Amino acid sequence: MRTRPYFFRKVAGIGLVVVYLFPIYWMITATVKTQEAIRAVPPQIVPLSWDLSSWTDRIFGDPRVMRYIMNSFIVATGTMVLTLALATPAAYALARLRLKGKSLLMILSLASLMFPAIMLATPLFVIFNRLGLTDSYLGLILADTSLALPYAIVLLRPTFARIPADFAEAAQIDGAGVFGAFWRVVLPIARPGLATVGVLSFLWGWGDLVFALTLATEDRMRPVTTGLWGFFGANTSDWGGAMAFSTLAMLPPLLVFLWSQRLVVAGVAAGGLK
Amino acid sequence: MTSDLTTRARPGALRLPAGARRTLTPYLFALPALIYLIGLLAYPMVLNVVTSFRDVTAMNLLSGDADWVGWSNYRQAFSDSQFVDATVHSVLYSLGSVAIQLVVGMALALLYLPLARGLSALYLIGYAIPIVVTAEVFRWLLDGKTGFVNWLFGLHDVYWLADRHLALPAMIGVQVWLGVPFAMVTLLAGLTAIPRELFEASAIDGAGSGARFRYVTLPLLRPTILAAGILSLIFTFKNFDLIWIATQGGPANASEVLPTLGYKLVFLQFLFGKGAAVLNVIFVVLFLLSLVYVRQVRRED
Repeated sequence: MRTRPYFFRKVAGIGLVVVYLFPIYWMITATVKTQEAIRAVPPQIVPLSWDLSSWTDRIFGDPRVMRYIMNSFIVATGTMVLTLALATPAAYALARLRLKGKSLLMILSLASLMFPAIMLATPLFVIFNRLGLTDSYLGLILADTSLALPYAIVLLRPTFARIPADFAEAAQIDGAGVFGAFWRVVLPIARPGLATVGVLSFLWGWGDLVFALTLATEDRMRPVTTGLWGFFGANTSDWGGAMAFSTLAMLPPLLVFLWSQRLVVAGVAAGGLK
Repeated sequence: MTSDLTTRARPGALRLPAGARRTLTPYLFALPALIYLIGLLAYPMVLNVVTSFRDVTAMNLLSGDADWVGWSNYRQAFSDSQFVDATVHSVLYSLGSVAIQLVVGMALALLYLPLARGLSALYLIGYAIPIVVTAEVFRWLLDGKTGFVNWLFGLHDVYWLADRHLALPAMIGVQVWLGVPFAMVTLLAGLTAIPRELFEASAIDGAGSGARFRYVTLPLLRPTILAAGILSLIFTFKNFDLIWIATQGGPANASEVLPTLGYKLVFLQFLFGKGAAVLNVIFVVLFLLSLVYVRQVRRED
């Protein structure tokens, strides 16, 4: 009875996804076109002739690009690890443990919603300058974590609150300490929530522009975001090269997303991080 | 967790009385994050407020002995036409794009509700990739010479991002592309939570699909719409990346918003006090929006 409307709905749904993702398709295909094909009018929706010179000349022919990619991996992974290490016990304490000052931690976490990264950048620049942390991986990781951590706490608290309190209590009666119960009983159950937070904080660290722009001014410390910006600047007409670099900068987050789609959907539905 | 059940100490564990250990351990869980947030979030924020009341220059930025100047930085910022323009642009940009995002997000959520979730989840690719990449791609799509958008609409030499009248509307369009996934996924989650019986009951009562949407879906979805709207407003109002990469606020401040203005004042013109004042204005606006959000979350709980 509902097959025909359902069929049309499905066609429309697929069609709109294609339209929405077209800019990404357009970016990727530009990287294998010739300069003439990139400028062709009417545009070549499907590349007619292949030319990999955007990749070979601009990307693989330049050692700086691999350096940027490596920097981004270090910063994003560091942000993910530090965020998880700090947020997991804190969120558990908020959800399940008895302690004073819970509201302070919760207010700080929620308040971070309104802290623009750009507003943190100046004071962090001053502080990190005194500590010698500008142009260092540690500085970028610390800065990225400062905004990822509150979101992680807000996202993880309900994860722990949903795990029945009896589990940890039973383990404690059996002789495990508060920490033992948390580590051996609660954490394994909370794995999906932890993975969501891990993926989101990785994406956050990878995509950061503000701290990269302000705290990593030396070229050797640049991640892909400012690397891409510095490479092509505001007035490029080398669209093939710019799109190849963009594709490369997009690839790791895209793969992480495709591998962990459900987790990202869960995280975004719970409030997102961007 | 009553203490008479749990006072048995484990041999070889930390040599504190069991009761004290039970009381103190929770603090070991929460303290690292709390100290981190105070040191790297709260303290910098306070520092920013302090800076906005001092005459901080490139000379005394690192030494920290600038003169106190009261509200002078704020007065200077507010009387600046650049600031007024940037505020107007920020409001138009945020309200405009979020309103469109919610309408488009709602339409898409209704379309995808009965379809497999894997399909609608593909929109989140737009959310997962770095904003810098999005900005770079749209810079090309909106280019006057070789941009796809001009070809699509049969236009010639329309430089969307380099035109004083078109830059801001074009950036609202790009922001919609960026923000629609969040709106749709949130609304889709809200729609999924509405019990089917409610629709069936109203259908039996003779309500058409328009009436069902107006009298059943919308009222039940109100908290979700509000939460998604306020969160999107916060994200958009404080976002720096998209506009900075696409236009740097240009041409001639035509797409200047408060975050890009604050960045320019601080990091390009070294007017630290004035820049801090502008950034604090963003903070106050977001603070008020967050209050609305927190109240909304409370009411939902």
